[in-house]
Amino acid sequence: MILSAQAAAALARIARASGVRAEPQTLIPAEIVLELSGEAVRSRLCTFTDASGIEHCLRPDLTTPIAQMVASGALPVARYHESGPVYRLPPRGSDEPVEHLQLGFEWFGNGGSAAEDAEALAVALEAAQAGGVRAGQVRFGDVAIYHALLGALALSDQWRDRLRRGFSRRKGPSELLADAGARAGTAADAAVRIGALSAVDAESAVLAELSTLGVEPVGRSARDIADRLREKAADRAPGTASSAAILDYLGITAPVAESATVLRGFAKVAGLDLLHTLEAFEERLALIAKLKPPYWQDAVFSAEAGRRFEYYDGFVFEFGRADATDRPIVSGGRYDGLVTRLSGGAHSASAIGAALRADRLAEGSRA
Amino acid sequence: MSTLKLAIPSKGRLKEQTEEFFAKAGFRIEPLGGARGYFARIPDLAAVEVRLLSAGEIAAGVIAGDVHVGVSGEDLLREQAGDLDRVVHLLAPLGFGRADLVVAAPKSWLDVDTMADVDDVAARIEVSTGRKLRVATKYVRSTRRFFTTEGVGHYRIVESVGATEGAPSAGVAELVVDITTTGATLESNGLKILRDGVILRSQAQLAASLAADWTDGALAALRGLAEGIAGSDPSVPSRFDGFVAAVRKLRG
Repeated sequence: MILSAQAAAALARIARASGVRAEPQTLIPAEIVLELSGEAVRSRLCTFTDASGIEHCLRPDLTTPIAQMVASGALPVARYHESGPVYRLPPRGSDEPVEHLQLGFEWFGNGGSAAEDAEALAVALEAAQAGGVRAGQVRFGDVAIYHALLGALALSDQWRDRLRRGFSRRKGPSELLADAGARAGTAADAAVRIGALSAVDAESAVLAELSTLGVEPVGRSARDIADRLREKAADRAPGTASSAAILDYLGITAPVAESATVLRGFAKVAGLDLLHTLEAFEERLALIAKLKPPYWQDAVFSAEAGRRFEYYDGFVFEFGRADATDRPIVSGGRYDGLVTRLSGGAHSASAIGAALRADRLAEGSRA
Repeated sequence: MSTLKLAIPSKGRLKEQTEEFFAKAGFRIEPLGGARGYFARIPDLAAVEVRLLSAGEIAAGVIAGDVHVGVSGEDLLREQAGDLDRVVHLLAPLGFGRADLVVAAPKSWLDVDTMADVDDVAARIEVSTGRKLRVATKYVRSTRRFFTTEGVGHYRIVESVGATEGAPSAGVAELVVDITTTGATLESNGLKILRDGVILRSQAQLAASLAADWTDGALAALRGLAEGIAGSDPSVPSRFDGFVAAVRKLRG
């Protein structure tokens, strides 16, 4: 694919900070994308099945195949830049093209840092500027604050996990909390009785109950079922104060200049110790300010930023026309957990990256 | 010269019930073309051309606009269309072909009664095995939509071609999404329907396509059909009016 002059200029800015060019595969196992992002993305994937029944897909982004190469050891842990077409089926009624040109970078490393966050943001925004974008708004967030909040609240382990995985789902934290009451007290009598037993007794009771029902354990062991019945019995819905703190946090938006104060104020009112996470947040802001990236002074913090992506786990940012926030020109963020997930725990690497849409660069250059 | 293409089921109980339904509305369906039997006509409505197709083909035909109206199961219509209500109007529920599309789990899962339990167990399976919970179904899109709405994320669909209800005991999936009338088949395969696991209570529908070519003649022929059916279902005329308004709006 031939780059426009604008896209070439954007890519040149990225390349200066981003090591060697990566050439990821166009065709990747659909399994990888589905394992990462779940069945919900399948309707957007261009998939097909080979003679042996294995499903392949055209890459929906450049991050996944590059991270996969790092996870498999095919690429060393290093900084990469990339450009090439990516493929997503448009939703019904949308006039988006199936194929569009993406530019970007992925920086893998051993730890990551606030300085790296700041540099990645600056490179991505300077690339958009080099690509001819005249104006736009940056929206940023930090998924790590949400995780720290869940850690600081008095929640059951089950609810902490639920709220954590709910962050990137359509049925999100607020919907989960609204249903919390309905969830309690719905278990069958036998389930409640077994849940109150010791681990050993619960397993025997599950086996006895299955024998009464005339069924064998299918898919999961009697032990696993007994364990979860006991966890269910011990589970407690989030208290009013915890629910309110989560909803209050997710509602926070603030101009960048006020964001640290707003977040500190939130932690104080909620009575939560988020000091460590908020210090890291402030350190990052200070480092970004030193780099003076374009468009940054009008940036807006949003606690919900990053909800559309499952793999971001730290700093996240988007940049686009202020009147089209659903069509970002740039999206990026930290995804330290991705290599670990893709390699099944065999490898780990810190990672941050960003992607620019070449077609939207052109839109952004129009006034 | 026919102007309205109506598709009805070509075989089985669904065909008989469809013919009974139209007969009750005063429309006798008369086969054409001898032994091949792919076409029929309604003597009282000369403008209607009747095509006999499988229920799946009818759903596809109505969604694509190859036929103007068709009789098919709501389950098939919703499965085949991305967003059914944008392309198809359901003019009349026909009261037969009833079946529920449901989520079923092994009866041995004493800890699982609801979709919220499914989400918890799916996350648990992923943590302990690194694999996702597998759901066997022929209803891939309906499953995906329902699971997303219900907040279940950690699962994989295993597309089944044969007897879906056997997938858990065969070890190829943990859950099943399938159609059931009495639940007996699921029951005898050691499965239970989740309390909030009814995706759709389906029945045969008279479905009109917004994607078809609606001439004034075709609309007039549909009005004839709707007036006949109104005798057994008084809500049909207002649905028909709604459909005509939608067609006019599309025409601009």
